Amino acid sequence: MSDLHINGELQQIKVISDEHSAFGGWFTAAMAAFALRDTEISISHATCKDFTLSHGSLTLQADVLLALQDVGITEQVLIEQASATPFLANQYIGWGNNAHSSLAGLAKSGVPLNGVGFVHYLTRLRNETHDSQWNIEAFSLNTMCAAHNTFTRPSADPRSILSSLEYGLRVNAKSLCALLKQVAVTHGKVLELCSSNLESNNKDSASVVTLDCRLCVSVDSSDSLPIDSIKIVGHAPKEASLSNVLECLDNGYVERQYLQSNCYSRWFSSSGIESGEVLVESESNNDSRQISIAPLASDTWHSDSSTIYLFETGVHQLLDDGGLGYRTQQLASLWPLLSGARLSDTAAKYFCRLSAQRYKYWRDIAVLPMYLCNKDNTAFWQSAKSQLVNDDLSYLVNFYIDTGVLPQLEHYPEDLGSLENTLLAFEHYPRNADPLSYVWDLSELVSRLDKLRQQIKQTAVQLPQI
Amino acid sequence: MFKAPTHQIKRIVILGGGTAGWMTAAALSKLLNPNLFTVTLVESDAIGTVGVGEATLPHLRFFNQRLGIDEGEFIRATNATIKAGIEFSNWGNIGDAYIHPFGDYGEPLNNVGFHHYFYQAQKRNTALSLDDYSLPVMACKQGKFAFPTSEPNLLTSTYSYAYHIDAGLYAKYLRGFSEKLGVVRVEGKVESVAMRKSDDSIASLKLDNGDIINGDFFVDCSGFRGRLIEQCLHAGYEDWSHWLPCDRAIAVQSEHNGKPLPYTKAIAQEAGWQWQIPLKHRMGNGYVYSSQYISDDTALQTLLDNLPGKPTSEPNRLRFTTGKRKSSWVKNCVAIGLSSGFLEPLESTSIYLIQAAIMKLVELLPQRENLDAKRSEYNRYFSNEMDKIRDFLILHYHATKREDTPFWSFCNHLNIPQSLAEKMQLYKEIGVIEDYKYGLFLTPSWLAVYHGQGVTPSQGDVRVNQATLAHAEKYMNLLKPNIQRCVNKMPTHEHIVAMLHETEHNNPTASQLNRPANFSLYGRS
Amino acid sequence: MRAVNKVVILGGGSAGWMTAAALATVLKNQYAEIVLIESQSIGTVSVGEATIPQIALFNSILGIDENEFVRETQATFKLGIEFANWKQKGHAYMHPFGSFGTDMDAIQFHHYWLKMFQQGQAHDLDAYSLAAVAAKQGKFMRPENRGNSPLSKIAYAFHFDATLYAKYLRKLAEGRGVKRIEAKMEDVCLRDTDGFIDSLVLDNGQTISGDLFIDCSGFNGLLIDKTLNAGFEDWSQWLPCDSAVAMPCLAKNSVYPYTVSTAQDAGWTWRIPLQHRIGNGYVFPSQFVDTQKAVDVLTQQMENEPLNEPNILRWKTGMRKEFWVKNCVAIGLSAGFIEPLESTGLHLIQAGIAKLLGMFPHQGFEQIDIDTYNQQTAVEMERIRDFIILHYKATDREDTEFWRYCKHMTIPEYLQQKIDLYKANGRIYRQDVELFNETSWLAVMHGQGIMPKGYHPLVDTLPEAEIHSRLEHIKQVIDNSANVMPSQAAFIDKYCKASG
Repeated sequence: MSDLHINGELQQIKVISDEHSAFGGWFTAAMAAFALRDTEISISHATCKDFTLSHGSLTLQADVLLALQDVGITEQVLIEQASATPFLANQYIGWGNNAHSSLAGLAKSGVPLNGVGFVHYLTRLRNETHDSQWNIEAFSLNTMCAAHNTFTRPSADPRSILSSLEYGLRVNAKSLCALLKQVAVTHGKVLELCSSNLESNNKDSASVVTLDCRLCVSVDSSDSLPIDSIKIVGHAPKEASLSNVLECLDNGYVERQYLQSNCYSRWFSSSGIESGEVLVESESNNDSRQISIAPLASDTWHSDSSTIYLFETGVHQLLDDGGLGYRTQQLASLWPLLSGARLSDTAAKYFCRLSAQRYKYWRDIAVLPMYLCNKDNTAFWQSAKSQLVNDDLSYLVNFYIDTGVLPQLEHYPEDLGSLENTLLAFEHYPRNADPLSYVWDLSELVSRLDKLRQQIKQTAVQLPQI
Repeated sequence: MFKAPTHQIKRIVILGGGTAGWMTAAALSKLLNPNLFTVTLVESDAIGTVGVGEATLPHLRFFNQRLGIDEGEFIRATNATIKAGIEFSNWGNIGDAYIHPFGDYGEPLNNVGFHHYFYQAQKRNTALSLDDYSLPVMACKQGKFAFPTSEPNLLTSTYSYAYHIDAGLYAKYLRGFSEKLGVVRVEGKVESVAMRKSDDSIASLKLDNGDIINGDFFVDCSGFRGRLIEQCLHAGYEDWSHWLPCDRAIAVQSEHNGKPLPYTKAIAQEAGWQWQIPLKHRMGNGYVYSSQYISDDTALQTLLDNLPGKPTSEPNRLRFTTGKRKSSWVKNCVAIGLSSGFLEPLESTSIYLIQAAIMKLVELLPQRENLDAKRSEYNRYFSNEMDKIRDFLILHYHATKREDTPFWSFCNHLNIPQSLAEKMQLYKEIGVIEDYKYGLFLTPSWLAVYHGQGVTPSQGDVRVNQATLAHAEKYMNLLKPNIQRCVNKMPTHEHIVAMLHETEHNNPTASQLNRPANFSLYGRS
Repeated sequence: MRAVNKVVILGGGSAGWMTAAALATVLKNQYAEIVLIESQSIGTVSVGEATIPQIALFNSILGIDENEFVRETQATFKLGIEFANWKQKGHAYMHPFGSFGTDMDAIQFHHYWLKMFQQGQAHDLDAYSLAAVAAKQGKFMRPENRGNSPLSKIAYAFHFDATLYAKYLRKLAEGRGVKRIEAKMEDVCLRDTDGFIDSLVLDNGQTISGDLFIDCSGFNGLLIDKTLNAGFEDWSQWLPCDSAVAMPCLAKNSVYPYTVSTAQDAGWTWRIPLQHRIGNGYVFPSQFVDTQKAVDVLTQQMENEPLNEPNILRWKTGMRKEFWVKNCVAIGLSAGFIEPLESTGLHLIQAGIAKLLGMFPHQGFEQIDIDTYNQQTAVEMERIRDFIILHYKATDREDTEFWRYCKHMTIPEYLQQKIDLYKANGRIYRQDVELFNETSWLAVMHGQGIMPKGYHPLVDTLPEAEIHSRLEHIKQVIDNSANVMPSQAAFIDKYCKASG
């Protein structure tokens, strides 16, 4: 036993990636290099193309930013080296049959009153006044700032209204990938291989653990998506925006993420992307790429093997953070399970159970706008919804509409504020106000909510423009 | 053929006083608009209440705060003392003792759990004790207590606290509280219950004095028998006595043997365990045992032989079947308290379960249109809560080396639930504690019991290496004396209790009360 | 402590108000509070426009002034029922109230008559019944004390408007303290301890609790069946008629004091004369006749233009397996349904009330009381059922599928025995609580064409000439009696003419 290793002999972590998953591969390698400092990390690429190839933009939220900060990729670094811009909300355009546009903020909207969720009061007001002008958007600093293009960093003082702001960062994926590679190389003993013979150097012992991050191709999955390809196009932005804009199309949708001086559009569609559609954005540069959507599957670890499959799946591709949120959680759970001398069957079983659960959540988040879409005047959208039916998600959405409460599912995060915002942005307001929201009479409720609305608006307007 | 009621749910009827009934009444009357809802509580002075839950969990502070109850007033009204943990003795082996504290041990370093470093450090220095790295454990051991602070960077915010209370007095206090808020108390025993044919829901209660209490929604706080949830609505019961064989308890009050301790004692005995709960003026004692392994008389004798002082009450005998109601909410009736299931008070979960049920009910208070949806979500939640506590309780019995009595032999060789078996296996192999997102007892509690009862991992985290361990040891060398310094500065629990029961205006403890509580066992979350 | 302090009656109509009136009279308000729940939006089924003589007893218990009652309900008097086309097309006979002839030397009259009739030496049976003779002449009077004269034994019933009857009884019952609640029932609450009915939830938001519940809710049996699952014994194999269409019209001529039941190709039509109109109806098996056809047949045969749109009724013939379950007693159609061929509907209500009063719970609901009530009611209904089946079974008609089915169907054992007993030597016995007496059985068995092989042997102890002369004498007395009776029209004008 090397005296470096106290808990067995985990000698090597071997990360395998391919041209479609270089980003996931380098992220995994960087996290491994940081977490398992004295372990040799090798990264093998199944094809010998540009290893740092990655594309477009990513929208990173708190969990990922924290993990990146741990490995030294701070917000400052991201701003300076990865064109990072702050992100406050998603703007949904045209997801109903009519021209419909709404904002869903990142942070929980409103403030609980008397320990009762804000949405109940809002629902009561909407039901009793029959006035849909009482809209959740007006009660979120995130959405109001996004609407007015103003921004500041949130306050740590819980009494300040500025503490209710939450933000993410949109970064250039290629630049971030380069940063991750740098981390991996600096922190770990990274051995970069370009090999099509991935089985070699792996015979000696179980002290080598392989993390296979390649594109998931040959998995039989009963879960499928109504879309089959993504086209990423870089172009000059029309104007800077603190929101990602998701616009519904007849046979899919497009998401635009605004970086410092450019913008990436990601076109999600079935049956390929017509070139005409892509050219809606006039000044598209040649930084464009089309990929097929991979099958959906959760990460697996067979108990008799030292290979752990952390595939790049359709879910990763769909998520606007490139699945990094998902990956961050998975890797954080994985490290404690890697014992050296003998990989534990129990750990493998546990990891699979955890992955399957977690996968369900991320899958639901990835398809959420398509699931909630109210557009039904094209064949694509008519069939899309039925394809996305899912027990947990429909339970959650229906329960919310019935009750205004999001059920606490074990594999869903506790704070579902942004998910709630999305439901409300798609007009899925609860039907009934909670009985506890009836502590005040209507006029008092109106005045309280109106005051809050004014306060949020004034704060948003006074903040600096980006 | 028949039409289910269409009007809104306005009349809430609670059957049964006691802790569950009055906690429910207090919460509903405080949180609901009295112009829109009526809350009626039916109880009979002739039916005794079961006061098992005299030791509480920190969550109770959250509950009291939500109701706007002043902490000092509460403490005085319930003859309370402070509880910062539970001491388990003779569980892993005869002679062992450990404290399960309301707080964590150390802190994770580089995302690796503290215990992984501790076990490696202990290999080099066998004199190390995990207790030294928990402020509440050390404070308990020295009979000290101070109210935790809220500054997240200070050691003094790393723990929480609860109380030992006289549950009967708490119920009485809440009765006064509720009646002031408009709860109508009706004295009487239920003679029969009228059930609606259309949907088998409950329409009204007929009392022995002829009164008829109509309601739209009923809360069954009638205790073990489940007068409404079981006798009317046939919810069914999942029997867990094959895992938790204790089925009886004897409770008796006694004098103190000295100063009240800031923790509950749970002392394993021949066929079960004995509790000691220190109140301001007396000690609550009890023996929870399995009638299969010991006679009632022997159990009583064991209890009387082990009292810390002279008994001051007649023994009160209880019988129960450990388990849970298959659905604790059926139709228009939710069971809260013992009617929803019974888990022995080993981890003081009785009042917590009442509170959790009430808070979930308040969150999911139904309207006609969404009653079914809310009911199934409530049941999912509550069932999960019970299952997880069950596993944690079984752990105490199963993680033992004792074979000295047939009872302990049985526990030692118990065929435990799959969920617990997998969880324990994972810990034993690689020291990972599968964390629950929803559930009462999280990693620090499992660690306390694993460690306290001699379950240790055979392998640790690969991230613990020479470099990180050295770093951790440095941290540990600072933490231990820091904790000791904190404890030294703390007043004795006895002193704190005395101060708390002072009613003078410039009571120095007053400023430390009513600090915002969170819904957690462990202090800062 | 007494078991019943409050009685709740669900449903108005004849059953509800008869029960309410009787309980209010007998129990009085000091004993138990009585509440009746009915809704004007639920129509009542007016089955029982014709009655049988036992109604007089009921009326007398209630202390009803008969003339007032007749006026208020547009009633006429009824001396019997004429059955036309039942034995065969073109044939008719009377089922009269009161007896035929008089018994001689402890032997029933009909044995003497049978011997002579078989020899062609006697008139047909109707000639020996004052009711039959008077009815055919449109005569009516109440019995008068005239020693041995048949005039002192006139038995009669009424034809009346059941809706007016219910109204009349409502006035009476409310006057005696019955509380009426106008509402529909929405739900029932059951006591968890014993499954007894605790209370009824009404659509006006009220919840009415009670100790004893009388289900007068009609065919559905909302309490007895839909709530307490009493179950149903289906008799449609023997009595296939399951529908009726009813339409009143104005009378063409002066009305006769009897009901007419005319057999049709399938089923039968009724004609019930009231003071202000004629009630017409067609009881038919939907299996053989569609509703439109039934309406057409009825319209064609009516003596005048219909006054209303046809009122269509549907039912299943049979009875509840239990009539009294826990604290609920079914009275009226909720207890069972037998077609109104022998006008037994109101009688069954009355009998139910009488038995309930007989078994009224004391300190608790005793199962033995309940069992006895159920046994007696079942027997009573089965006997009536058998008597009705007799009309269909004993026929010469084979001209339609319906009648062929009836003629060849197997019948309940009790009825078969009764027919066989009569066929052998003309013997008829009445059993237990059987409603219809020897006169009725004789009238129908003979009227439907059953001819016994023999007769009672002791008849032969009297010389034939003697028998002959006695029969002639009886007929003479009856004819004379009929002659002195006033016409029904005159009688009504004198005593009980309805106003307007």
